[in-house]
Amino acid sequence: MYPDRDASYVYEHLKYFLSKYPRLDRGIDIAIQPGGTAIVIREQKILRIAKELGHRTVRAIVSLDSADADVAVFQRRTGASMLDVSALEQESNSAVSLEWHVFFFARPLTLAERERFVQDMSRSFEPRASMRFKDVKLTPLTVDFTHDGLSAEFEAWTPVGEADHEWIKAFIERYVKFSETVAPIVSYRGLML
Amino acid sequence: MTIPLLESRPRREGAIGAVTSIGIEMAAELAQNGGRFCFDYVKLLKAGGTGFVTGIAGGWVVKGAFKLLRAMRGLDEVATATRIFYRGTSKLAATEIVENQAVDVARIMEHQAQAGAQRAGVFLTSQLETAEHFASIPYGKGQVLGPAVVKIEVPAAQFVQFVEENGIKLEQAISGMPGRTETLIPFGLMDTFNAMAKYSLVP
Repeated sequence: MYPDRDASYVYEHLKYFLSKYPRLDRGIDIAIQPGGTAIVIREQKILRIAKELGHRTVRAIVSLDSADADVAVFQRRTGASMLDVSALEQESNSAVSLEWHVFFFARPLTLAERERFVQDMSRSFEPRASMRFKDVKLTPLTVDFTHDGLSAEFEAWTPVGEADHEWIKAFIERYVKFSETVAPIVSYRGLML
Repeated sequence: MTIPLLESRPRREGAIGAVTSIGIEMAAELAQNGGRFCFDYVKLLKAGGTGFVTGIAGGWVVKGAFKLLRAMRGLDEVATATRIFYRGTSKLAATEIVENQAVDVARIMEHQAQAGAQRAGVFLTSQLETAEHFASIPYGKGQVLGPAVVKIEVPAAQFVQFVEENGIKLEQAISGMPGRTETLIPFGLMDTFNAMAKYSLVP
């Protein structure tokens, strides 16, 4: 395994966020060496999280540098199956998806700050916030403050794919502003602010 | 079209004695102005000129020549420099971009059309962290193998020319996010952009 050069994440926060899902869909990058040995070349943290969360499989992209014969040996030895790329691409075709949003703060939020956080976040998940919500029955956000108030988490229908750039921008703007004016956010979905 | 040599024109006080290998636009502009050149850096880049000036006469021309030489030194630096952008997307899309050395415009167009996007095109940013956050929201759960960021290197001089010629608003501030910027490349210009860009995965 090569060292993970991605310093953008707080490992434990990312792991906690991904633990909210029963399945681990995030992938790693591997290269297959002569003899069929796999080397993880990117997203080592995802493999570690997969192991620590007890997942039996992890999705991976095989580097083009890998020889077909070595990939075949790797498959035979590990029982790895090939993913259908067209099926994978379909995953980005949904307009909305039920998603977890997990924030970790630099200090526990006060009651007033919690209320403000719920108000701010709710604005991004109300019907008028995105055209993509038009076919979804939205319910008010239920935000749980966990880890003794150091984190906030909620599940919400969320515009996905790359299309709704303006919604994404407005959402980022909201949490950046909250972090700068109310209480510092350390990470969102494990990604450092 | 050949590059006009200014020394073949009638000399005037303050005119440049000789110009060699300078870009067409630049040389023409110098010729027209007869030494009253007040070119700027961007114009020199647009001209794509390289070369040097000799035979300067006249005090204020010398001053102008210094400006030209300084700009040329800058041009040398820019000619070898690259400008770096990032694009947040899915891991699968990022891998395809790097393999193909091109952004799949058709797919982005389709998605943006479906969503009734207010601004169409391919978004880039010069900040890695901005790209990471833009990728984390739609792909954080792991759709299409999760979020990823593509690093895009473009030759600075060529990119400046591309931006100028096509009226692209470069690195516009994102409202409400101090220090964060974005650049929108229209779909119709992506072939040109792809031709000059070198794509790689981050990290």
